[in-house]
Amino acid sequence: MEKKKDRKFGLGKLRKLAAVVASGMSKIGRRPELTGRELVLEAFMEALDFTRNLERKDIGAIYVGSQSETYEHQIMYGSLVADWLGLLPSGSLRVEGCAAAGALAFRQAVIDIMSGLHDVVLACGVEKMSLRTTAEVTDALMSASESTLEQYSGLTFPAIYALMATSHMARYGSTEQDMAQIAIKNHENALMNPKAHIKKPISESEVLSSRVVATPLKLYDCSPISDGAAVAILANPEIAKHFTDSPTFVVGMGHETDTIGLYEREDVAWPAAVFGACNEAYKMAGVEPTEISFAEVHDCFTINEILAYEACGFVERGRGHLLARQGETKIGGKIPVNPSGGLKARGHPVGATGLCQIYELHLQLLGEAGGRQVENTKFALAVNEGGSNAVATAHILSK
Amino acid sequence: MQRHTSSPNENFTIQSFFDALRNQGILIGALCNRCGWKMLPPRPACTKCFSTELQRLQLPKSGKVISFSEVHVSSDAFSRYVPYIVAIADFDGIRIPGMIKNANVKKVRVGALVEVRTKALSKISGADGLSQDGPEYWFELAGE
Repeated sequence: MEKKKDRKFGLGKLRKLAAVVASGMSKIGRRPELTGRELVLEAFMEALDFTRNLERKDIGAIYVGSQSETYEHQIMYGSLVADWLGLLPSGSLRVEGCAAAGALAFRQAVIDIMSGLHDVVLACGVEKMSLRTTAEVTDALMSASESTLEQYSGLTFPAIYALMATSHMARYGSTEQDMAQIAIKNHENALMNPKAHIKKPISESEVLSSRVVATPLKLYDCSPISDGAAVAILANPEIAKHFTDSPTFVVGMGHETDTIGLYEREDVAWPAAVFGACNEAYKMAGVEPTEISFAEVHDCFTINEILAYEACGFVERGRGHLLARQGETKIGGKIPVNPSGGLKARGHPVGATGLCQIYELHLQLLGEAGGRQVENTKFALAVNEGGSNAVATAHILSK
Repeated sequence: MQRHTSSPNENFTIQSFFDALRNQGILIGALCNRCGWKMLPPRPACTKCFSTELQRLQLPKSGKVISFSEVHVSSDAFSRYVPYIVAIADFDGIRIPGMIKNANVKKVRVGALVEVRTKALSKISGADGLSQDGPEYWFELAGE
């Protein structure tokens, strides 16, 4: 209650951890013409266009999220990106955490700014996946599950999320139709995102009759295999206005882990790390879930957006599917989720996704999201997850 | 002063799990003597209290399905089995994942009873550590 009273004085009371002075994102999709490093360059050039007085030598450090070296047979993504963006010899390193790599890179950039080590820092995320076959991508993603028993028993990633779905359906009465609503909504939102991977409206019957991947999940319950990159240029909040008139600010963040094996969890349909990370972020920002204007969450599979509704505190545990059923998470609804189209339709270049979410938050808060603009935005939440929700991050941004 | 170092107790390593599976056809775990926490595969230190005072436990034969899925698209290593059923099953408080073999997926339910089957294989081939015949333990529906 104390906190609420404080906040009537406005955002000045919020603690600004770091400023996002610019963000950029490549077009997401099959990009046979570009390598991963060039996708980062595409995103970085967009970000640079929205800054002033920023010279590349101002960038003191670089954090690069990437999921797997399997796709391009390339580690050392830190040096590679520093080199290709003309940022040598600034310190640069790769951050790994499967699909959470992008947001973890962003988080490291915030921590770097907060520590006072550097005034301007670059966070990047990238994945170049489409060179590989579906079987190869399945294998590369499988390496994020527990190797001794899960990989050994043939638990693919769709299968792991299918296990969450089967359990949720059996206990709470969620249905395949409920999950289909997530896919339909996110495809609809992506129609208004010029950089989205999939621009195709889909009907419920198309989702329900699409090819089975791992029951009850079908092709349209799964995010696509995408190429893409996204970046954010962060600065010390005190000097942010030097680089732009319109920065956004990180006002809360959280980061938690869970067992690497899904099988060891007390409740396979409860993403405890997401719940923990969100709570940490809410507490830091001094906001309640009801004060969030919109969110970008990790809908790698439709069921996971339903689980995120619950873990983000938008609805009670076990009732996430009802929010989908009632259409409350559409743009214009009570709490719009994934206005960008989400992983499902904007696309899921795995290591880039966390920064694609930050890009959407930044655009929306500045009122630059075009046809998918959410009205009256104040606080925005991004939730990025890796493995079977074995790592989760939450970031709250504000103007 | 000389530092004392000790390696993890070899009776509670992942290797010991696969040795028992391959040589004796059993699934072993660890029971913490201090706090009673159960772990399978075994770990050299208790996840809850970090005690190294452990004893071996053996997975009970019968368990209950917590969740399941029939996999239709897989990696190259598992493509030859599709469609195959995977599950997480609870064996008296110990949960493990595994394939459910020799079952019609229409008969598999959350809460269904399963039994563990094992097969000791003399040789493992492939860089991924997988045998040509797939995992050496799996589940089957009880009474099938």
